[in-house]
Amino acid sequence: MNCDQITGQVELYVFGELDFHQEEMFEAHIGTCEHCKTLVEEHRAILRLMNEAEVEAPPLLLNQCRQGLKRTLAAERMKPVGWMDRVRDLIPAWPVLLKPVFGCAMLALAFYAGRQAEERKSVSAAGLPTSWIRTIQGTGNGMVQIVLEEPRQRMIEGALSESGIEQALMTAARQSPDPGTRLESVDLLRNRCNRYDVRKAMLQTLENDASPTVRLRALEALRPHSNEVEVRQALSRVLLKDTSPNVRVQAIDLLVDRPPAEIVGTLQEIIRRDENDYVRARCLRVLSQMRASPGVF
Amino acid sequence: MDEAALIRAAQAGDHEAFESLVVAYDQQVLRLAFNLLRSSEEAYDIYQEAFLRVHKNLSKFRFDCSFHTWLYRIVTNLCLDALRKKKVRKEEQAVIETSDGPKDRLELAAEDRAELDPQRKLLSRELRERIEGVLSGFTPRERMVFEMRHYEGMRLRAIGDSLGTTEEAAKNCLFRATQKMRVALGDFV
Repeated sequence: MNCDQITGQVELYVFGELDFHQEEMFEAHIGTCEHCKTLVEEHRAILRLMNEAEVEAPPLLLNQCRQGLKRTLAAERMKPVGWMDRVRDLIPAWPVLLKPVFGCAMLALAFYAGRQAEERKSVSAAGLPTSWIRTIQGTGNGMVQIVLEEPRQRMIEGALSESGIEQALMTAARQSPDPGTRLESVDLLRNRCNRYDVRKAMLQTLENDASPTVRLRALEALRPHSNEVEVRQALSRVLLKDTSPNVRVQAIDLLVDRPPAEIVGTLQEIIRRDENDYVRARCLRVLSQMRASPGVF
Repeated sequence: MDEAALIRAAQAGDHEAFESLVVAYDQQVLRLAFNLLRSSEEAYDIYQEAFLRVHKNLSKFRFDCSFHTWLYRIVTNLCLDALRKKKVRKEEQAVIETSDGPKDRLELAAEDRAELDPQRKLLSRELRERIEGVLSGFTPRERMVFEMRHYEGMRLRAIGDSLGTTEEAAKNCLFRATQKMRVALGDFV
């Protein structure tokens, strides 16, 4: 591969679209050619800059969209079907005519269902997607008995101080797939961080949640506890590995409220490896306020 | 239940199966729409319209492509239409009258977006404006291909399938988008 070919394929290379053989040849060339290596670096740097253009949808938007869709689909289902409308137009009195037929059908159905329900549930229940099969047993007469376990929706209500509610909120903060629900749970728990298990849930959210907005909110909730060893250790880890510069900057602010000596090493490490100029500048400022050196000697 | 079984159940009128399909894909759909259109209202509209179309036409889905590709065809068409409308509006109205006097649209958009995501506040104003300029300078198709490749991580072949075009055409769009980025951001690297 020569420099012209590299120039023509550099976009595909940085986007990972070259096949194995092409990529091998590409990398062999840039390993020996400074000019092409610089070209690749330049493309990568531009893509890094473009990462800053990515925005995150407001956390509650997903929930609003889902609720909106549910409402629309429910309304759609309530609409009468087209051909029935036409039949209704043709025979305006058809509901009156059908009443006795419908009554007889319901009577027959109830009689049949009553007989069947004595021994087993309707087979159609097995098709429900929410069903979990608990046990299966042959009854000997060619029939099968299946016991289903079905999750059901239910509402619990109570004060934040009640342990059931607190537990539910901690579970939601850690496990809900909806970022809006996680955010809401963190908000409700934020004044209860003096409790060890709540604080622990908050630390887990801070370190593991996929949404930077939720992580920031957990970080805010932990602010009054920023002098505790466990929180400070988590903040140091966040500072080194969180992908959001905003979360990293907030972590610096929390850590330097009462800067201990051990933070110096972490800040020096950030200056050495963080890609974000603002984060590095913030660390430099803190180190200079602490009269510490920005580099490791 | 695997995806094919869910689709078949939803085709047979099972509401819960349809809901499970929505939940499996809706975060990706919303993320794509919001990142492209930068507006909660527009992203909401795209979400609703896309899944209503899926609901209406699911009986016609014949498994001759993946459900993801079929869904993304619907979503990308809607997003492209919205981007085109947005672009026409932008060209018609580069300067907006505000209570503080006439303001450049791009500047206002940058301010709006900064409020949406605090991370953006950290960028220098000049760089932010330059990035906004690059995004505005993309054609709707370039914007879509770049979005799907860079932020969504989709392969060019899958992007081509979703947009109803070839891998080669998607590749060309990506080339043009990259060239525009280099021109606009070259002095920042």
